[in-house]
Amino acid sequence: MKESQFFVKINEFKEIFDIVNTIKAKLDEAHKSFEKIYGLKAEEEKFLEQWKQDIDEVERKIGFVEGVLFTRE
Amino acid sequence: MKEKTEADFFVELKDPVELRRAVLEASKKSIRFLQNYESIKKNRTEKSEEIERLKATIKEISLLFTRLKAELPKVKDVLPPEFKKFFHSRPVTVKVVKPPIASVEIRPREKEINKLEQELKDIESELERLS
Repeated sequence: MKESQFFVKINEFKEIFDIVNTIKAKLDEAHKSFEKIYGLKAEEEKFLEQWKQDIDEVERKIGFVEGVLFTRE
Repeated sequence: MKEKTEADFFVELKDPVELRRAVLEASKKSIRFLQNYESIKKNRTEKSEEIERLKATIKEISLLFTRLKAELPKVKDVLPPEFKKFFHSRPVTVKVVKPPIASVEIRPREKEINKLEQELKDIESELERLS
């Protein structure tokens, strides 16, 4: 036995078609946003790593200065 | 009469050139440290802006799905299988009733979360009914 069939008017079908296409376009935008966010996150990690290296470098230099100034043979 | 002056004492600096170099390099690193802070600040601002943009896009998608649900015929009146034998199958034209589109208001965060949870529950109930 056939199930009941459902129909929509042609102009409403066009509306549905347009909405679906708009949703697809918006999903593309969302994907691009995600890519940008992941890129910025990776860049932030890189900056933080550089920051830490700079701090470690300054610590080494000050250690050397301390050694030269305050260590007596 | 000659004034008595205190004796000046001096400390020898070993490796004065290396010492000077170390101080200058440490100073350079400190400046680079501050520059990096500005870069991180700029990066975080860009990230926040992009997340806001993403949130707006997802909100638009959610509203579009609301419109799509309104445009498509409702199928909750489909009869369970045991009743179908009493009716002849024939093409049914369903009048599409468009519910009023909810105006987008600025709500407090908690109310918006509750509203989204309620929408999810409604969708899940409808999905259960269809399966």
